[in-house]
Amino acid sequence: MTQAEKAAAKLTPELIERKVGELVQYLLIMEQRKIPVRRGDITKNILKEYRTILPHVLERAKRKLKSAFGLELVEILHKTGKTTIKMYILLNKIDAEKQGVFLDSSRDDPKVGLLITVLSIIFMSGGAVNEPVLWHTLKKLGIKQDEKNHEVFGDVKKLLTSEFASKQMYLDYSRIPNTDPAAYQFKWGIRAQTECTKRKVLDFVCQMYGNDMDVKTWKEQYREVLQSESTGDN
Amino acid sequence: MATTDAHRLALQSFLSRGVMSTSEVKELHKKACQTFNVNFENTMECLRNFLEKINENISSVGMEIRSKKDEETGKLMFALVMTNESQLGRLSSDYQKNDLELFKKILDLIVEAESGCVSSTDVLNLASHLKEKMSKQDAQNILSRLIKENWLTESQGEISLAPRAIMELEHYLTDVYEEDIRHCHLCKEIAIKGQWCPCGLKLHIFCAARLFRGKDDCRCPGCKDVWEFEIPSDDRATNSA
Amino acid sequence: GNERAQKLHTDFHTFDPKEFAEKLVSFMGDRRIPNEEGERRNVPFPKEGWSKLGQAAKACFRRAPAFHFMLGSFERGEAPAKTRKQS
Ligand SMILES: [Zn+2]
Ligand SMILES: [Zn+2]
Repeated sequence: MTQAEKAAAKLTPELIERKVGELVQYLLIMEQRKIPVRRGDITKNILKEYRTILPHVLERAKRKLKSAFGLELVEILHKTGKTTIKMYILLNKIDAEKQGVFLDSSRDDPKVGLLITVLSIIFMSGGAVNEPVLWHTLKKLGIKQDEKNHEVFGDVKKLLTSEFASKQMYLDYSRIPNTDPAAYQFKWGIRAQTECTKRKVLDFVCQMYGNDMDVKTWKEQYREVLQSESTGDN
Repeated sequence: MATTDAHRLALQSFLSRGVMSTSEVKELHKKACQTFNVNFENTMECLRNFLEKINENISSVGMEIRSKKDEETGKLMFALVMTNESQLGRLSSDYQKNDLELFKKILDLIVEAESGCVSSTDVLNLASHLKEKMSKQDAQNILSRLIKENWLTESQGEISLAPRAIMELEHYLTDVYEEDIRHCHLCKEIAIKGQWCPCGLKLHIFCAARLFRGKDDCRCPGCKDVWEFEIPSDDRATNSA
Repeated sequence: GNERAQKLHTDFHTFDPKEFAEKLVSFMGDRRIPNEEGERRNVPFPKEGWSKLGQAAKACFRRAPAFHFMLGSFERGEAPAKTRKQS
């Protein structure tokens, strides 16, 4: 038995069951802001002195989320400099068409609209877009870079660089190497790489161009789609 | 009955909407079963079993789908509620700390009022009683959000607790406010909004309508005094569930 | 067949962010109010436009619904002052 399972054996089943329930509740609460949950926070907030049974409780929580909620608990690796941090996100196993009108997304729709705009521009531009280019494009959509209280998005730069990027990790906002003065670029963050597929985004872009444009019209991007599907990542 | 994708979709719908009317739950139950071709009968019994299965799955997560009649219409409502008051609850980020202070003061006002209703101006005036001052405008924004997210109701400028809040906070209310929380003489359920007699007896509006249906001399079942409240016609209550 | 490939070859499209932005503008329903000078400059889009876009993009994501509640989200604090008249 692994060390975790030895520890688990010592603990009463009731306590383990309670910790699994608490972890599932905790993940569903943290999902309010869509911020990936750090492994360390799970130990701090849920397991505390029972840290050794984390793998066991995580596995049980993963099963409960799948069987009861139809949600998938996914581990993502956040690399910062030398260290790699394990984090967890929840992905829906029920696809959008089947959700129909029963999931009320109206609260998040506007932000998702802005997010898909940026993710599309990044993907269609070959995987990265320089910050000035992005702002110039968003200007056509009535969004200015120094906008502090946009009618729908408030402080837009903070929304893109803090909420979408550093917190939710949908976007990656990073400095372009050896640029002086420092120039920045947007790329897909680890969450987008895990949650979104390039094919769906290319479908979305074609939908925007209208008169049922074929995905193959975009030569390089479509090759990216096929390539991502062949290597199994999406 | 095993858990199916229909159960999972229904639970997700409750997560995202919080509270639903009976007709909405029936529609959800039907469509979810059809979408994932799970056997479906248009009966309350089948619906009860369906919801019971979901509750079995989520009880260890501190969640439950409860039902209770809307105090205004008598219509049965369903809500997904938090069942335990644990430290984890503090991690919720839907409302700021000061917004929740305002909510607590609104609860005090509503429970203190015999009718269970308070005027929106009284609520906005609470803004200046908070430890951390809140502007009237901010208080108005929070009040509108609490109404939009089904924690409070507003009818003709009167604010009261919505079914979702009563279903989730019932135990909290009786714990904190003890005997200030009344129960309806007829249906015995908790009664925040309702008609009351100086002797302390309280009735839901729709329960009063049922109790005094067809009577012209309405008297308090407790102290036999004349029941001063206007009795709404009972038809509104009969087509409740 | 060959003509299919042939057609593909000539129809490649290079991505231009500004052109994409224009497509989004028309999708979101360009009813932005022209300003005083009368031309439609880049005034901010109303919320409905962005919501419509977010709805259309739903299939691109696998977003999970969160748990929203009140019980336990606040400290109980001291019991409310017993100012009630003894009924
Ligand atoms: Zn009653
Ligand atoms: Zn009486």
